[in-house]
Amino acid sequence: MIGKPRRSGPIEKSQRVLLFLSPWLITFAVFWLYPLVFSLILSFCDYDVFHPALFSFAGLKNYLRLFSDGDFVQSFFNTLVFVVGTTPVTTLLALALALMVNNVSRGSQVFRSIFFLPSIISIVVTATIFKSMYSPIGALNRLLEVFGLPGQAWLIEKNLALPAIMVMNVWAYTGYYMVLYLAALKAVPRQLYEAAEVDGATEWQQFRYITLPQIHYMTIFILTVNTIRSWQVFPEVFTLTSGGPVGRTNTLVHHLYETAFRYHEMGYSAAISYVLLAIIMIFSLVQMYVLQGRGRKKGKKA
Amino acid sequence: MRKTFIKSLLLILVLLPGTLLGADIELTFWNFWDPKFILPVIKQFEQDNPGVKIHNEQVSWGNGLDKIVVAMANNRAPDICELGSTWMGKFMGEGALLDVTDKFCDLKPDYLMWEPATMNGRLYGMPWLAGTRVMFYNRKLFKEAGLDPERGPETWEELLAAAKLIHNPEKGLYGFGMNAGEGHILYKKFMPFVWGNHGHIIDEQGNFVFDSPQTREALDFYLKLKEYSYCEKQDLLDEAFKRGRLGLAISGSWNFARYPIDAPELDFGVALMPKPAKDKGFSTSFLGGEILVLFKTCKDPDMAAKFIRYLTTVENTLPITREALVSFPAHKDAYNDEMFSRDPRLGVFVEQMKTSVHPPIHRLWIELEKIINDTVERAMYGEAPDKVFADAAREYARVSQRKANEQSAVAASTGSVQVAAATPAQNGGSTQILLLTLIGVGTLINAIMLMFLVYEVKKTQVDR
Amino acid sequence: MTQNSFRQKGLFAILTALALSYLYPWLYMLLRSFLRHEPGLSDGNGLFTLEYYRLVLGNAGFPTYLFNSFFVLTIVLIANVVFSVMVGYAFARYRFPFKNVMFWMVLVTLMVPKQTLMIPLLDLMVRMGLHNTLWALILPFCVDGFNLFLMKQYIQGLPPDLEDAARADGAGEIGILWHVIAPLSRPAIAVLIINTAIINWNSFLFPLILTDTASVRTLPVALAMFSQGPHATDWGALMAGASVSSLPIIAIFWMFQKEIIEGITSGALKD
Repeated sequence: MIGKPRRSGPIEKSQRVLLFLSPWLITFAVFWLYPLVFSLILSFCDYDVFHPALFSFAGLKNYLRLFSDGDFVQSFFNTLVFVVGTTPVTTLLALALALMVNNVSRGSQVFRSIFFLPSIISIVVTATIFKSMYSPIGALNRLLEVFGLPGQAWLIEKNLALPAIMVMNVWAYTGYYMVLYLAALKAVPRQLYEAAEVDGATEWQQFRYITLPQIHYMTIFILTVNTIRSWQVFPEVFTLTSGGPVGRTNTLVHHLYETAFRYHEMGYSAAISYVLLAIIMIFSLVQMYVLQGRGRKKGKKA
Repeated sequence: MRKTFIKSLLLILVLLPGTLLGADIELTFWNFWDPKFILPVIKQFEQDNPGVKIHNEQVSWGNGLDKIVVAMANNRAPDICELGSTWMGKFMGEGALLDVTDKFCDLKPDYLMWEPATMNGRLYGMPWLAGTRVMFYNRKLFKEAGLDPERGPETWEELLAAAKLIHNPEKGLYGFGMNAGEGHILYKKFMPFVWGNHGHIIDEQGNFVFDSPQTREALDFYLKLKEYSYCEKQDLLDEAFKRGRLGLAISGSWNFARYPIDAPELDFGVALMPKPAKDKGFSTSFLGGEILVLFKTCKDPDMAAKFIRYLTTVENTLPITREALVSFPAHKDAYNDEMFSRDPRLGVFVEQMKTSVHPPIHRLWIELEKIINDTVERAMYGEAPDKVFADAAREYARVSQRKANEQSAVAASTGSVQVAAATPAQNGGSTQILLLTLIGVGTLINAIMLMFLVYEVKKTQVDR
Repeated sequence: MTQNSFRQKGLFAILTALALSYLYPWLYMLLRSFLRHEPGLSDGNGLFTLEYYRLVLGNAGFPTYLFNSFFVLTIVLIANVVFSVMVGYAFARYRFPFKNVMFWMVLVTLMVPKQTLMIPLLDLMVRMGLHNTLWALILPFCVDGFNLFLMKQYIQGLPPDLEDAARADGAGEIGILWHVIAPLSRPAIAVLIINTAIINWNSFLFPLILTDTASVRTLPVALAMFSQGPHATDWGALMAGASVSSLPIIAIFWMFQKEIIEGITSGALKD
């Protein structure tokens, strides 16, 4: 039946919409709804895996406890620093790389592949490699030594550990977002640039008024996804520092993981994760509102 | 279309396990070891006991506890399980394990390390493997520094002096390897200094006595030692020692499996842990190991106990020890094996094990461990001892108060902890209802959406 | 022209410098998987060994793990391509009730920490009888929120003229999806395939929780068992495993990266 011309009326179309949406609706109803609601309920309950029978309603207790939990407050600020520090850098760097790789005349394919390589290895392995690189007798310090700079114990020093993880994170994900930007850049119609060149637009003007608006949808996507992922940073921390030194790299997901699987306080852990969910949602809402608003203003053109 | 596909798929998959039935008794055994060590033992056991089938399932070291906890929450705990000895306090205290006193108590004279398997005089597990930590030292660096390469430091003073002599960061040499920057390990290295100095975490009456002159003295020494130390995580410490960069490091027997192959030129010795002073305290170290336990849900405790008795014998446990060298059998006879006499350095471990201390078997051990790690780590990062010890005491009071509240909630609702844990079926029923409700709600929402969609879909195109 | 070639040289130099820093971990990984020491840390040459590869490749279960991983990946890939285009198109081009709510539900599945879902998801799988089967690793991941989001964004960015033209020619919606949207979305589909492959191939947490026995174990879980010791990670084995397991993903990347680059420019957009 594919491609066969059909009479199109409202009912027909609505069936199409339903058909198109059905994979998602079914998957969500069958596999996502239950875990989501289960853990939401859990966040209002006391639940210890050792005493499943004591699954008792606790009201807002778990949420109120968050305010007096020093580890939670610390991990919240650590994560905030992480998100604010990495997301814009990763996105801008990815855009810059994409533009450079797109414009370079020789070796574009090779560069593209090299920049993408880090995204292929699992983040745990990347983190292990960086762990050795960051050690006091590791590669980074030996490189610094060549330039006569003093070495550091990157992951041991209180104030360096989190930035060190952030640098690794930027490094590991830039290439991936670069490829997304490349896909978007390639979709910008050539005619727009040709027309602009006829009009005598400078390169910056072309970038500002053609490229940026044309890839705006991808910027929204990258920023949103990147923000979500940064708020959930976990394997890096788990592998590199387990939250240390003195809690300086403890992130929200690491904290909720420890709460659930080390201290077995499932209800409290679920409360943390729903607070995290709320934080991410607010962040994304603001982000989308700002970005989409700007996109609408600028994107009217083409 | 897709729905029916999934339905038929589900049906097939639901029916599948039914066809796999066969043996009379089926037991699941979760452990952390390469199946090549375990499977031959199981095969032999199944031959000796017809009708028994043991499913061996390996779990990984990094995430094993997660998996066990998730399985417990789903009422799917294995019948037989290997647990790290430091987890035992929690699992026993919470009543998750089966009382096996009458099944194993006749073995007591033959095995080591019963302490972590015992609570309130009852036995909840069978010791399988035991391990300790000793002082590794680099003989080449000792010689270069003018120290006697045949013996390690015997007292704290000697340790500090040796570390000081060797320490030379300009040349990439460090006196002592100190754990830092990762949670959960620090206490294994620090506590021996406290224990050897007659300090404790919990006294006989169950009071939190971590803040004592003995502990402060040990911390004071440890901070002095930090001046001449290379601070890193365990695997990087082992690597640095292997590369000949460290003079001394506290580590475990697993290095004997790697150092001779990876770094044949490395000339190292091992020694007992130093004691506080010639006339004071004693040499001690961290003792830990693996315990085999039966969960309350175990299908056939008698057969499971029989299997455990078979698995923990010397001849079935030694192969693991010989190759992985991670820890040694808990059976005392194993130490007559030639591997311990062949390399006298392994003998040091056996010697150290006699005086090693297992961390307290306490219901709140996992929380206690964090308190101790935090305290020592914060002191290492320069906070005043008075403040960190005060915080430790406050944190302990807070945690134990919260746990006491929960405990009373347990008692109020079901009479006793044991009863509560023994009746998970009730919970199964309620989550079943929850699940059905949710799927029902999900279907309902989908149906409403469908109605809206069929009758109210607007024009196709969204204007841009 | 000379200014242009000067700029090209500068660009090339910058990219080369960056590329070198991006290559370092790969070199490290490959070297470490063949050496007994950390490369560079040793004063002499690190001892060469194939022991780690023997450990990984020589494991009796390795073919099973590889097959399981491939089986899961193949189905998940195909399902994701088909479903993401469908659902993404619906979200991008149709107006329907609860659209925003439904779209936020897509995002919620991305936003909620996976660690929280481990216990209820296992519970669900046990009740469905899917626990400890490969289907538990396939069915929930056939539609991925990330991919839906990507396709929605991409299709929204496409000019609607072509669809309108096809519609004027009397093409049905499925026809438009198949003959207009899908070809136009080739770069995004290529990204989607690469992304799904990376995430699925390296997926660790859910396979760990949802399967028990070795017969349904996937590669990442098996590799964790090879390389993790009770007190330390065996770095050589970890790196050897990572090198081996990254090969299929590299292959997939090489196969599909052309699509990302050529994609649209050669196709329908010319008119």
